[in-house]
Amino acid sequence: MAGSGTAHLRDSDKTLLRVENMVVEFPIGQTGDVVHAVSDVSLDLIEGETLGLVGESGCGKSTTGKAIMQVPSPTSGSVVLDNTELTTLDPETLRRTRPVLQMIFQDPISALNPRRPVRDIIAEPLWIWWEEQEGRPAISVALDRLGVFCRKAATILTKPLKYVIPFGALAMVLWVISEAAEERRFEDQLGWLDVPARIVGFPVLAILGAVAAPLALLGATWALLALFVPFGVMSRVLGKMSRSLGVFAAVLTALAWAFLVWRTWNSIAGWPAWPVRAAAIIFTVMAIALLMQSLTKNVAATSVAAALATLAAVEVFYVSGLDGVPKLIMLGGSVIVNTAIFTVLRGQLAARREALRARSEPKVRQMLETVGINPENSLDRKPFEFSGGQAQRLSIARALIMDPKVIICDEPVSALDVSVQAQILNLLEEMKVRYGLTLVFIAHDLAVVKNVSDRVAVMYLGKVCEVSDPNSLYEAPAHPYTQMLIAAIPHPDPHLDARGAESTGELPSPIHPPSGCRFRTRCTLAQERCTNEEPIIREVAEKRYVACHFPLIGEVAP
Amino acid sequence: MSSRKEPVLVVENLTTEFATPGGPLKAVDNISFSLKQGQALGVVGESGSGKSVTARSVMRLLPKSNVVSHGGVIIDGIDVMSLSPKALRAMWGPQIAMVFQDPLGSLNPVMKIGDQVSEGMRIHQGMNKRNARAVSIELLRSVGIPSPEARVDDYPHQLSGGMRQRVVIAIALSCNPNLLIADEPTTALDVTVQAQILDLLQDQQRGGLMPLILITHDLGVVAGRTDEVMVMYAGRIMERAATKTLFAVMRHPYTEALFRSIPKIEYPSHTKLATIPGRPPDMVNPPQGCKFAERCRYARPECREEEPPLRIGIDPSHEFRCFFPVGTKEGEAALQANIEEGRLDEDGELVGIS
Repeated sequence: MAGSGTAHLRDSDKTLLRVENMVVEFPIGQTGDVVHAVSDVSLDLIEGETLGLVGESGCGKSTTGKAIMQVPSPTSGSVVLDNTELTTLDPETLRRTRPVLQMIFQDPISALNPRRPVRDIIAEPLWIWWEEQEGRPAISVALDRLGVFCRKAATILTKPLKYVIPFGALAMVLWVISEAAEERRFEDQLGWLDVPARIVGFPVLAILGAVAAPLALLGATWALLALFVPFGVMSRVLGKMSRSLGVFAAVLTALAWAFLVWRTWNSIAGWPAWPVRAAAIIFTVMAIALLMQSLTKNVAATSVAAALATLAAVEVFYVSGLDGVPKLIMLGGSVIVNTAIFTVLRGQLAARREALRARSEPKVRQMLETVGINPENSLDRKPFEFSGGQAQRLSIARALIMDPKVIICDEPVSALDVSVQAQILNLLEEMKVRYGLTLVFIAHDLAVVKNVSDRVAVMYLGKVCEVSDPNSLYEAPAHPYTQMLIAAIPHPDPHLDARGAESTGELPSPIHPPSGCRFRTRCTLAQERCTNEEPIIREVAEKRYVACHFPLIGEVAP
Repeated sequence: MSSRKEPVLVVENLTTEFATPGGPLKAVDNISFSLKQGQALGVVGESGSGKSVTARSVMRLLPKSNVVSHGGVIIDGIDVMSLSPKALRAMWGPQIAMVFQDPLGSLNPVMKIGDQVSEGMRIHQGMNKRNARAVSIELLRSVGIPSPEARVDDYPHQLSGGMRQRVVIAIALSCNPNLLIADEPTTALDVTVQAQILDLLQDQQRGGLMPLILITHDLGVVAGRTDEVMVMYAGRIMERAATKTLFAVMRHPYTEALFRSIPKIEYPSHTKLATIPGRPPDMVNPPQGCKFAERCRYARPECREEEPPLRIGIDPSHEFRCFFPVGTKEGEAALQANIEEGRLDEDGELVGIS
């Protein structure tokens, strides 16, 4: 298989989607190696057609589907949808283009947000689109921008943080000790109003110290674990834990530093306060950044949190410069103002959601009925209350609500029972006719792909092997790999020996794919030429395109 | 086939109930079957039909709390239902072993695969570490893992899905079990890998005369790979026959419906597939009469009143639970009557349920 080439692309003015020489590569850490997930794949889709993409796990069929969606954008090559080149669009324009390009995923239950009711899950694409078109309240736009900015800043700022947190915590411990030792020195210099603060402050410091010490230890332990435990295992087991602990540590460190600065500012005349202050500001900002990054992807909420946190930080530094009553008034005042702002914002957001819900409900009901779900008893249910087949119907409804032109179905029936699989396949066919859809249908079972497709592209290890109409593909496969896939389909006929042509071997590594034809390591027909020369896609019979030097039909490659 | 004629596994009137907030749920209802040496039994049904619970009841793998299981399960003359936990542990491995659906979930992620394969042998057969490792390498080789000497020190995440399932099979085979249960062993795998794994199970089974229970939702998987097939629905056996008989004369409408819903590669593309409309019944409050009647094209009013018993067809080894069996005069008449009464549309599909 292997093959590059574009001989199978058609010149038609009805071409809706055209993928040319698409390459997707994923770098592996810092090693310099890359996974060649998709290597030089070209495909085209004519309006109203279903293109089946078939192949084993790891052949790049899902990656191809996702690269068409631009998640992520392909490493190189072009994807033209309706005369628009998608790969070069800026993110904002791409987002506006995407309603016409929807996706349905393999595992329907995990593709739906488990904590939201069906009415919101189905309607959300619509809400976003309406706001997009009709303009949103200025505040919401501003919050989004702030959120994007904060997230960008967070990404940059959190990188050094993971190295700094253990040391920061350690520094805290040392500081608490020295602070305790020098407690007397401060006493004379504190104003009378700071006495209550000091009484509160000392236990706080003690608690912070007690927490910071184990955190520092934990940091060291993580580092040790990373040296000895296999990485895959480590990241799976510790992934979630270290993240929330990291946030916890960051928040604590930030608080501790803020407190430190407040004390220093107030108390020590002779200290070089500015460097300390600067360091404290950096720590605080980084901690807040990490906190934000870990927050939900709800941009508005993140922005509010960011704004409040920044305000709080400024207050700590500014207010601590003042003395006496004004300090208390300002602190109290700002708490009230912040709470008020937050409450108003939240109320606004809730009201807007209610309005959108009411507006989208008729369309949601209609969509649910179309896919065969009774809206009366399902609008307020959550995804886990549905069976796999019903959940897949919900996914289809969600994809259809935007009136898309192209839907990419990524193994939509692989996780379903045979009987339910038939229901979903029929539903997809029905929807295709009803809404004039163009489909990319990805699956590993050739019998399923054949049933729904007008044209099938067989993929192997990131390359296209064969492109053909489904009926002739099955009757006379041209590529040895296609033949192997056909032989592997379980036959509901006990008189046939279940073992056809053996499907032998495993997919080679996509990091170092075989030279020449990538299928040669498993191909019974492979010859020396297959090692040295990569086959190019060519037409071996009418409308039969294959990338093989020695195809099962047609002539040997020139 | 076998020197011994008596069955390795006998299951008699097995019933398993789960306590749920709504009341007891009969997941398996009065099931009996037996398995001789070297025989392969396919258990087929949709999700929730009770096939996995049957396997787990036979293994006694279900949790004690909230589950009541009664009936007789006899493996090699031992009454499994009365075994103490300690005796059960001694039986899992050497007597009876299981292969699960998700190979990654059934392997320990922080243990080398070689250690996982040899664990059973070291516990049950008292093998020392060095010997167990040598045997493990041979086992891994026999299940088709290339260069097992090197792979034995790999962790599960370093293997592909198909290779992991091979390791799971090696673990199951490590103590030469008298009975192997494979619960949807290929559902999480690709078609090509599925074929390889099924071939492997078949080789191991025929080589060692070990009986095999193969659980799947796909009739295509059991055809040509099992001697007998048992179709389950709502915790009951709906139809049971020798595999060749079953595919030649399907009697139960549910079996026929399962068969019709498989997309066959011979069909021209865009063939409308037959489906089984509706959902399996609520097993806490099961409907009266035949449990499949709601979704059945052949069902008549009497099916909803009385549950048909398992009855024997022309071939004495063929049993089914239906008043209007497919391909008989009664069945044809029922189908015709349903079309006339408007329960079915002109294509013969059920009207009014999705």
